[in-house]
Amino acid sequence: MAYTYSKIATYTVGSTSVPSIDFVNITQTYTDLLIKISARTVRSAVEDGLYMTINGQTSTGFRDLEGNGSTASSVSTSSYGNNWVTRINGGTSTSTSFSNVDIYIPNYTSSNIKAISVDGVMENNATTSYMNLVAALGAIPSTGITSLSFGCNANFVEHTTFHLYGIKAEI
Amino acid sequence: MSVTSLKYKTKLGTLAAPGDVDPGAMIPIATTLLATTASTITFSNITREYEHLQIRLLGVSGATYSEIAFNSDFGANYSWHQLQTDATTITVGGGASANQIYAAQLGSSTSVPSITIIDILDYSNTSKNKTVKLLNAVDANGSGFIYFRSGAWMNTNAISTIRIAAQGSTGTFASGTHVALYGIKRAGA
Repeated sequence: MAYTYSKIATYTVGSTSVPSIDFVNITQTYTDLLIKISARTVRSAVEDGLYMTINGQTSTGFRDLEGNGSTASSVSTSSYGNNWVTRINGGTSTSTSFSNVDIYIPNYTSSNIKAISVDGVMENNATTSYMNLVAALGAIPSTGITSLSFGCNANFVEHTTFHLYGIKAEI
Repeated sequence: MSVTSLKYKTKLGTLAAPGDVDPGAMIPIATTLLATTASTITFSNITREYEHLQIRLLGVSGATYSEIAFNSDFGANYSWHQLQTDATTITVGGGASANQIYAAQLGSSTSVPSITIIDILDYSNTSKNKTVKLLNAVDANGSGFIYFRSGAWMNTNAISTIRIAAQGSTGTFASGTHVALYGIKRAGA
């Protein structure tokens, strides 16, 4: 496995918070993509939403299994807005705590619709904390994925990191 | 199907000689394979040269659960939450100011192994508490469960030691338990 797991790019938020993070000109030389996200926003709430846009297009749907420390729920994320993928730490969660999210996109160079798997957690030193298992059906670009844009309802804070890896089926 | 040895293949055009294979971003750091029982498994002296850590655990144990703690801190400096199903119902749970993070749920029998993948992002970043995510499963051929868990160590120190304990160190991992620690390098330069 190790030989097929390659580094592509990392984005680290600096001292000025930012509303979005973009990966562009993603090469088509891998089989799958993996994005590892450690994020927190300035939103005045325990949590914030993380949104992902593929090739600038609106994605079409997500299904979410969520636990919040008290209850479990299964929802269609259309109620959260287009492109929602999971919850991340908001500004009132335990200080200096950041989410832990993996987004896996198999066969990203295909022109077919993209099936996307998301498993994300945000921790909070309290009863309420969110964890999400999400199945997503991405946009239908006529080409493979060449750009990914990530947003939230407020700005991403300093030390937020987005890591993009390429996975090869064979080398 | 014919198989070509990895050492004769190259991943980058600049790599030509056998052995010049780019090892990629996911690097094995250490492995423990128990030959006898042990109540804890510890990885020490973890260097800071990676961006993330991943632990892959095959747990063989008569205990019911395990816990994970960092840098020998067993104080009330952790939180954890979980989403669990036994294929019939889904339950949730969690705890604040706990002494450790719940890690792998174990099979309660040495004939029922459990599998767990634990991800720790930015483990050496001294501006962040450490957030853990894990997927854990046990199948007992007719029963079983899946756990999706999170946890946090409310400390910004870099992680240098990881201890996994069976049921508060009162249980044991049995022979055949296998734990592998990987480092995942920073993506990009």
